[in-house]
Amino acid sequence: MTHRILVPFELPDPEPVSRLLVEDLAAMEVVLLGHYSLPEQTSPKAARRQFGEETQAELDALAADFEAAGADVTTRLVFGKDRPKAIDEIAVDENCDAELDPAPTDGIDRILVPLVDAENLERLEDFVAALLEATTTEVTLFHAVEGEEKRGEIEAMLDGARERMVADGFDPDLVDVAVVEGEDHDSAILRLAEEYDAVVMGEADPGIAERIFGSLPDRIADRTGDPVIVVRRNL
Amino acid sequence: MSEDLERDLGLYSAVTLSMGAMIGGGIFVLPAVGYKKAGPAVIIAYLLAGLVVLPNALSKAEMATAIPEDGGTYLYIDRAMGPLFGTIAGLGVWFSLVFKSSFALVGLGAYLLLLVSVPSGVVKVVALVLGGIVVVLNVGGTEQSGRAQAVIVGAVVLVLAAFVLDGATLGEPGQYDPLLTEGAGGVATAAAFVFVSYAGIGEVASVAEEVSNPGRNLPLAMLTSIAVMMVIYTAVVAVVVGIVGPDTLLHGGPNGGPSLTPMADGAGDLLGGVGVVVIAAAAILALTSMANAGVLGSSRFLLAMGRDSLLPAPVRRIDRRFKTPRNAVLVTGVTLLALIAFVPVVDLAKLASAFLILVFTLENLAVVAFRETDVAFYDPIFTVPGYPLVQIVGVVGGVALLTRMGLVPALGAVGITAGGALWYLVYGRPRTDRVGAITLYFRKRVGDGEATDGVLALPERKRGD
Repeated sequence: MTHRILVPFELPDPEPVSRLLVEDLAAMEVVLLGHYSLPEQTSPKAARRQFGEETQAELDALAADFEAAGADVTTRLVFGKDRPKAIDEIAVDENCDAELDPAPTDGIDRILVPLVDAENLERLEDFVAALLEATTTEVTLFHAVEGEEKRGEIEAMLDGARERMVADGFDPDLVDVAVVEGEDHDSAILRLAEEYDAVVMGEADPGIAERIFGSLPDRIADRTGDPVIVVRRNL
Repeated sequence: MSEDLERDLGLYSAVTLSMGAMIGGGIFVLPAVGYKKAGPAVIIAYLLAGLVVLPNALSKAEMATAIPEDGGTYLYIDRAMGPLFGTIAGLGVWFSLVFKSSFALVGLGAYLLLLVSVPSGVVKVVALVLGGIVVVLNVGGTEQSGRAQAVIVGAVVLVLAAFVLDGATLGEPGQYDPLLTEGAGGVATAAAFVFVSYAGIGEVASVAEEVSNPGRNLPLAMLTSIAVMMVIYTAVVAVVVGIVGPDTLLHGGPNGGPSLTPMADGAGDLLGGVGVVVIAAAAILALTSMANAGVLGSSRFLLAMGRDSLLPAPVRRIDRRFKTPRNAVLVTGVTLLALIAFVPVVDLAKLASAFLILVFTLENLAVVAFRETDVAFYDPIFTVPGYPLVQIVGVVGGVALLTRMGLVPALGAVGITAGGALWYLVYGRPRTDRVGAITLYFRKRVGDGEATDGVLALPERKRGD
């Protein structure tokens, strides 16, 4: 099936997306969401009246890059006060199965794939494949052992996932697995992500920490400056 | 262009938003002012004011679901009754919110002085400084924080509840007797004065486009918040009257006038120093948020009027750097500071109430105008049950209160009407050919071919969106 990926931008004056990333995503349907953040003093409609045209033009310029690379592009422009909420709503509305936190990149050599369980893999696999480039040397399937989990079971789960990927056509030399113990899931990912060039992960239920510190993908993107693809749940 | 909006206000958020916009000067500052007019029956005055607001809340909810735009009150009246009444209502509601903010700031100053002992002469200076801070914050832009708002409302309601529970047993029955010292007329006058306690009701309407399931949540949130506030106000004022001596209420304020901090006077009797500090802190929280909401909310009306060519174009510009309606906020801010400096605080409250009653009355009439003329663009999701009786009650109640207010507010109401009309004739009229639903209706009836389409009344809605 064709994937539909949401790529959010802050407007005005969006950060341009690196060409490599544009090309990686060109095979998918791309929904570009321009979000213009407003303070509570300003009503969305008033802002749209004044800035709507010029901001749409900025968004269209971004869309042109993706179209030039051959992607099927939809643009959505939101004036509002709550960016994460807008991203969520548009993702649902546009039937997107993943979101990209775009970041400047000069080539993706190593991709980190945190796996919660084996079910997880199926939905992540295509996006990992999309990010694969000629230069890619390594895809790491990763899990942090927490609470009641047993190391042996986790290793078996990851190995199984790796074998499935190989069976699906991934180069066996490319895919390896990593298990971490004695460190919680989030901080382990944050630490490991520094050594990688991109992260592909499933969407987690937002817990207390997410509400206070921002979502894990946002924190990864902030800390490492790498593109992060989050594959949405229940589609 | 697709119109993507965040509809993220549920019923609960809408109720807290509405309550947050209401709790403030009305309860922390005005009980003693009302007491002077009505005696212990000021308790009934708060209820009465709430009852007169109810029809307006229903009318507002109906029109907000038909015209979910910023600057609601102005827009409803303008589109129903034409730009002449639109200008009067727009300026009236703007002024009433600026009055409300300035009197909240003066009250805030009075409560601050309970915590820091300085001569009472500096209340005005403190109010001016606080006003300056509020204006700067609003020019710079603040992040919307529904959660902070909910926390403030929750904290203030808790403090008020504690005040009531603690004070209920301590009231001196003698202080309620006789209840009606000034007769029924005095109660009406007091109700008119404390009307501003419900001014925040327009807040939810102005964010109607962000409310989810507006046909249900909007009217429900407005009615719920008014009902809750009526209960809170009545209980709190009953306790204040019960535990604070008439002498303190009537002469405890600056220059021997009515006390501006009646709740703290009461708290001192309950819990000693701690009570005063807690009440003062709650008052400061509520009054700050009220002053801020007033500046933020009133700027919207200038913006909407600027969009409709009733005010010079710069007031509707949104600043590129701050992304705020900087000019509108500055106009509001300068007026706010001038009012604090030159108008006595009790007059500020009275004028705020008078303008509000005037505008609310027009708003009830606007629903009648929309319904009777049956214009094409008016298609509310929620319609007021009991129309037109509800509106008639609202209008009669409003007029009755307005006539009880005495000279200054009456002159103010006449002044804003005349001033608004003059401004429209000199500035607005040459610049707009927009007409209200009423004019459209009569043109149609006399067969004026030019105006057969109701869309004419909403020209600005068709542009730019």
